[in-house]
Amino acid sequence: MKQVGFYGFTALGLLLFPFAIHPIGGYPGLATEILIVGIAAIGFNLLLGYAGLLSYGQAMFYGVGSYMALLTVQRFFPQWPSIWLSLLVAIVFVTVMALVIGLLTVRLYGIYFALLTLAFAQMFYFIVFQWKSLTRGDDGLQVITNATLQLGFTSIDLTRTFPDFELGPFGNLHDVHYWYAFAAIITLVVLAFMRALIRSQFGEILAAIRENEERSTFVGFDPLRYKVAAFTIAGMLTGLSGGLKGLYEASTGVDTLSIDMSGSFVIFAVVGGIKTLFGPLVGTGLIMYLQNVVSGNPVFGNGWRLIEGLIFVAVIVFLPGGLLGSFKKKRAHAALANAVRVSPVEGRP
Amino acid sequence: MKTTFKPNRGQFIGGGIAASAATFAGINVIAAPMKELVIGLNVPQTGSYSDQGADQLRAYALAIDEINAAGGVMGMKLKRSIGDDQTKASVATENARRMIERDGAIMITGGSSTGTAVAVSKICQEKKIIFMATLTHGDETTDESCHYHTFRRYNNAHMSARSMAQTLLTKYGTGRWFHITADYTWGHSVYDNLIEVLEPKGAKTIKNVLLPLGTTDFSSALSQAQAAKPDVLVITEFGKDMVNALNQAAQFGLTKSAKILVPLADEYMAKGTGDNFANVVTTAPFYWKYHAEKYPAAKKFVQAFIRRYGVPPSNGAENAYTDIYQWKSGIERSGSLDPAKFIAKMEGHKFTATKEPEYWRAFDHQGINSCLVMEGVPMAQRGAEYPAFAFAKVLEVHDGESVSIPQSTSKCKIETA
Repeated sequence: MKQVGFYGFTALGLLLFPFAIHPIGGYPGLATEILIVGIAAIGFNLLLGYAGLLSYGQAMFYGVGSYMALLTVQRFFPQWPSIWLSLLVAIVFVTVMALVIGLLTVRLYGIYFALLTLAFAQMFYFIVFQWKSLTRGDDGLQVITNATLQLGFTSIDLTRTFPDFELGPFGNLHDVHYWYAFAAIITLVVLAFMRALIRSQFGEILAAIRENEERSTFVGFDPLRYKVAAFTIAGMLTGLSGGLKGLYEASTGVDTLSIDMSGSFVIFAVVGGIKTLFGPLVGTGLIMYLQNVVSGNPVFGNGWRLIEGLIFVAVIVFLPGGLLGSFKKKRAHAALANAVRVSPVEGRP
Repeated sequence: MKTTFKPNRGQFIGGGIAASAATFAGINVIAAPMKELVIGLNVPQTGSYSDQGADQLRAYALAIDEINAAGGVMGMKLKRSIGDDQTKASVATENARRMIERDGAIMITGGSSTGTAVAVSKICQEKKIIFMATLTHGDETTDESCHYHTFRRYNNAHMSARSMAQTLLTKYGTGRWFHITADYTWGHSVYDNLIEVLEPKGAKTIKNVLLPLGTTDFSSALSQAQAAKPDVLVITEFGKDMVNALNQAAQFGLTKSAKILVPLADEYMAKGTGDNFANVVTTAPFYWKYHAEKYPAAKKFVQAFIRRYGVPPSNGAENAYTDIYQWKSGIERSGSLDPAKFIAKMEGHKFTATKEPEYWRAFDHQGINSCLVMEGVPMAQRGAEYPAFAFAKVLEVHDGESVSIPQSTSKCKIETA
């Protein structure tokens, strides 16, 4: 029953989202971007929220994902302009990359871990910047041929829009691209995957390691393996997000690998609420709304960065659990307590 | 008894949310169909090229207010949708997409970097929206990456290099040349063009140091230059990057030991470098002091700009101003908002704006107009009228036709729709 509720409410939310933001100045394209970028924030939440690892280098997976997806269309397999193929190449490459970097970094804690991931991200930033024959350096990639989505019997051009249907204050169905539907389905799958993951034994062991690594070692878990796994899964989701963003925009640039971008993922997750399933998505939505809609306001548009900063500070000071985390503080604590108590001897039903 | 309204916490928060919703909802009114025409102004408001972006915004505001005061375009008022492209290609694309999707912009204009212009040009082609590219000087915008929906009136690197060729040989000689170049399309384009012009004449290139856009510390490149003892130091940087590079070069004594060449400059770069810009050779498509004396339309524009903002316009501002009027004229001559009809009326169109008679070339949508070769003047010799902006004297004026990329060597393969 709970399962049905989760899928039902999430699907309904995703269905209404592009229209619900219309009265407050949003537009369907923004909804698509929020979902796509939100996937990376959801992945980051697995690291910070559940594994307690503050990575400050997630942009490397995001950026490399977007480059790999576009290079697949443009360079590697121009004869097969397929979204599936591009995403597959991006995800496989980024997953391997995250696994290797994870093995090298998760031994460190706190600030040292953050700085090492940042160093790796900067390394990739400069590789992408300097490898001009492949990445075109600072100019970034712009791809003209839009990849299509193969569905066995047919292929869909995701840049097409739904038929004309007026929805009053909620805009027009015609403004919504197929891209939104695709991003929404992927988001739903990612959310379901995360939900299963954090409720599984894996998620609970991860929480146990975060709360007391020594104790979980004593009871027989190898923290390194779990942390590497979490790092790799987060990297994979970030790569998926980057790949989708690249294909959606049909362009990418070196700033997708910048420190700013890595910092954005931290802000998205913390503002929305770490340790919550939907928090990172809400945080991404709020901040990207500021960036895209408030920045266009003639009166205080120029100050959107200031507003973003104030929200971040306010959340840290007044709502340390994030916007969503503060609603269900008790439940989060209970879940945490359960998670810490787990041991291989007791097992879990 | 007087009652005062003391909201409880719930009312306060509710009121706050309602008030902010009302404020943001105001934005949405932009999309009201066809009473207004929305144009997207996509320029850098932050970062290295923000001075150029801000001056273009001033010129846009002037042009739009003038047009609206005179009855708009085909009876419809112009409405702005402004975005800060941060001189990043991906932000510029996001802005353009937002202007088109959210605000219903029917034309995008802006620039300051060829990197952003090429990216925006691509998305405008995809969305079939007119893009009037302003301050973009790399060849690529109307050469390799030209698009059917994009028009660029600003001079390009090919034009600048060809215009300067003779002056460079007489003033700078062939000697040993050291380059510091912005590491993106524009920098590469200017460098390639200079090499094409200089090396066959015997100039020797010692080194080309490529630095990312937004570099603030040029000391490593400059100490290499110092050690190499070049005859000429070429600074292919723009905006604040060029200001930093040239001022630091002066600290290193390079402005004394070598001749400095800045292939493209504007009023704000000259303002930031002051006396360090003296005797530096550069190019520009427009110079307020020169054109205002020669052309009545330029005089009218420069005076209106000074009246409103208290300072003269930079060459990018002139370009932004004229582009708005060119777009208006194209729309009115085609009598339609259909991009294809507009483009048909623009291709090959001859007009006179703030310069000599000029035209839009059909095969690559490059505006063909003159290129000025100028030389920086020391502050003491600039006179009393806006000395910071009266930075140069005009050495030569080259007509656009003679210095443009010929069709035979153009890499532009423009779409037909």
